[in-house]
Amino acid sequence: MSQGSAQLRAAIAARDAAVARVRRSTAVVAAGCVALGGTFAALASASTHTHHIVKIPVRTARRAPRRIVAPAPPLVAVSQAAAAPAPQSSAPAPVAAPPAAPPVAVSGGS
Amino acid sequence: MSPDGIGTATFTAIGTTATVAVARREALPEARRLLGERLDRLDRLCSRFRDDSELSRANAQAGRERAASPALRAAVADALAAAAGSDGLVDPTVGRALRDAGYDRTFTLVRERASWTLRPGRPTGSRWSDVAIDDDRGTLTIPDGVELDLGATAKAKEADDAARELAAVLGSGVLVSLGGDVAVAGTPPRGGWCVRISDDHAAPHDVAGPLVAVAAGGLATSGTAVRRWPTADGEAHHLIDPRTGRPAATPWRTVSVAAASCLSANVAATGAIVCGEGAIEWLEARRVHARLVTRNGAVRFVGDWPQAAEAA
Repeated sequence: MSQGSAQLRAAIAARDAAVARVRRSTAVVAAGCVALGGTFAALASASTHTHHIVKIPVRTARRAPRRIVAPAPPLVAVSQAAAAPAPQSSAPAPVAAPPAAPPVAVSGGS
Repeated sequence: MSPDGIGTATFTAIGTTATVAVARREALPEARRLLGERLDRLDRLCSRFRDDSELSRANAQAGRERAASPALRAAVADALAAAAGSDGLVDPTVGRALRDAGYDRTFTLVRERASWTLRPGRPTGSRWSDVAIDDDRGTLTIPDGVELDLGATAKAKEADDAARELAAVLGSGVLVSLGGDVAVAGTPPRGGWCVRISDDHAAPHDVAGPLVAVAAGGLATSGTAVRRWPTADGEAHHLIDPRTGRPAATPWRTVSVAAASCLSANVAATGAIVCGEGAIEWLEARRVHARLVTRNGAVRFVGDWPQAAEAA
């Protein structure tokens, strides 16, 4: 084996080792970036107001029950049965007012 | 204003005199305003003399079912209840008979007319029982040929309702008088509300007549002495006897009744006038307190009407 080819192999090995270091460094930096991004994101979210998620109840108009249209019943005349009983007094009777009392109204025919 | 804390206001409304009295004087302006608003509504609802009142429009559509406001249906229901409770003597279907008798316009105009020829009376024949109210459909059906007049009930019921509302809103004892139909509500002044009894509600307060105190319920007077007009057959008046369709031939000039409400009192007073000779027994059966004055001035009493007031 010549001295030239030995030097070539050594150079190739050195190059491969350098490439491997670069890859590891890149991976470490990428991982660091992800970790830092997550950290900053966490810090940012913690530094702002809490956002509550409010569930707004969905209002739905109450539908009137569908009216089943039946034939109209015959109109019923208001009759004695539905009428009020004869007027009866449960009020105390009026009393004679003191002669000096001033009236506030006159009850008379109109 | 009277010096004892009572405030009173009197004004013209619904073709008559309205008076409101409050036990707490400072409540008077608001009481006057509220009563005025109520009476404006009542006039638009059931005046016979306004073409645009709901009652006039309903009368014009007699013979068919028509939509009616809850207020008109309630007013008609009161009138029908009064007819049933008075053995048909206080009948809301006398509207046409009133017009036939000459009361076809406001009373101011009736009085100005020189004379009138009475048309033949037409008994109403209990047609009030054919008036139909359907609250589910919101309708009123007045039989064909019938014209409703709610004068015997709407005014008195309004006095009841207004007194109750004003007392509640104002926190004061209240008296409301609409053409002499008196209702009281709330805590009355000490000794009750003093009311003069007279033939004419528009008489001055110091006119001769008994003075009574009312603490609850209503007091109403019906009479034939005020709303009278000349006709070719003599004077007519506004209280129609549904049995004849003509102004009631009655021995009574004035009947005053105290009862649990102004509406009950007015139905009893009007029914007694129309009833005629049997009015004493008719009123006794209704357990009201009443004062009846004959055409020649004799006074009769029913129940616990305070006879001592006559001498005061």
